[in-house]
Amino acid sequence: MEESQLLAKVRAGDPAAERALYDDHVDRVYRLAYRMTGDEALAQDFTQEAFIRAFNKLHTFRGDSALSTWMHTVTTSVVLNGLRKVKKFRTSEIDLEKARTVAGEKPRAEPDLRDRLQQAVDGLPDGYRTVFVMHDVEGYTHDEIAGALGVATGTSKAQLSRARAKLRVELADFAEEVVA
Amino acid sequence: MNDQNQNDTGLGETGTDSFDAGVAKVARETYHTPPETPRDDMWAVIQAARAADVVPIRRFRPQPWWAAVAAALVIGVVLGRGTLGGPDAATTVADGGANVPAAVDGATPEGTPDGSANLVPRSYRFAAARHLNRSETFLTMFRVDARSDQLNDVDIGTWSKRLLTDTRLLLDSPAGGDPELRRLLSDLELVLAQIVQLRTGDPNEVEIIDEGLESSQLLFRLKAAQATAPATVGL
Repeated sequence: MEESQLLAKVRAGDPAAERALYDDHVDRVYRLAYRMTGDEALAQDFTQEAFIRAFNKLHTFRGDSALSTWMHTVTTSVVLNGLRKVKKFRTSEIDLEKARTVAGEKPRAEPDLRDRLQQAVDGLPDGYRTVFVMHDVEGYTHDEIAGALGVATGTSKAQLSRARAKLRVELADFAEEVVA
Repeated sequence: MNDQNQNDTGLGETGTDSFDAGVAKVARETYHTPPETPRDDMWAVIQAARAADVVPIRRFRPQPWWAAVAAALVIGVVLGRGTLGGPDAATTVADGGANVPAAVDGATPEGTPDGSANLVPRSYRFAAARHLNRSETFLTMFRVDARSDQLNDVDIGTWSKRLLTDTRLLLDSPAGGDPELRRLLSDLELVLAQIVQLRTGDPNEVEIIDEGLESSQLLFRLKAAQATAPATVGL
């Protein structure tokens, strides 16, 4: 079904068309939400909220871009805005880990690449982490990222470059393993 | 930037590219790897939420089943609040809630195209599940903020008032007729009411709320109720 037909049906309140629109986008939105939160309940909540907002804002879609682009921009923006509210969760988790170590719990002797990578990505500044996850992990283009974040494409590229540079430093000890 | 990178890591340009590609590959495979998308579960919640409370005013087109849900909530509030304070308040509210579905179901077949009588209970069930999920998220954030002295008046005031209102609506709706869910919602109502009235400058009040959360195991119960939502809600 062409997008214009789908849009017309959704606007007319056709439940099957709404579901089709949802099915087209939900995987990508949920995956991003999960990647960014690492929490199933939060990822579901953000994804649901994103689609509720998108459907409610559908009347503002003017057709300047493809419906799929608009839909994805709206849903992704909602997910990323929601993430600001959970930033403190992540800080808390990291603090808890530090507290355990200080309290004498035996740390794992040799953290593996997976653990170190998770720490390194979690430790990136918010903007860097978002762009790294969207581009390098989930395969978004810089144009899509710029649209979702409301920044210039060049900003997205610059943030990715800085994120990668930081990760190179953080994971330098694992260079052989990473390149292999 | 590349010069800086080479200084930091000792990698040449080719090595840098390989390294970046390697990091991206490991991240794709291991960083918060998403489970299968729970499409149907999320869709059910989205549908119920849109039906219940997020129809935009400018686009609003009255639909019989939506009106039935709204009417049931209003009737529940009127019956419940009208009897609060009397000796049999809890019983009356529960009975009032229990009677509402029959009345609504009676009205639904003539108002819905397919004559389905189950739309209203399903809507309450999903509305309750969604509310419990949001409450859990809010209370978790509240506890984290409280313990790090980072409570924000505006955020907390807005969220807690909204959640408290929704909790009371659910308590006075047919969903409140389920004894287990009613106990959970009542405990939630108490904590939210405390948070609404909280003066964030007072550490004693925050501590009391935090201790209340711990002793009632409210967060754990909220999570458990979501895991068994259909059975717990009992609709």
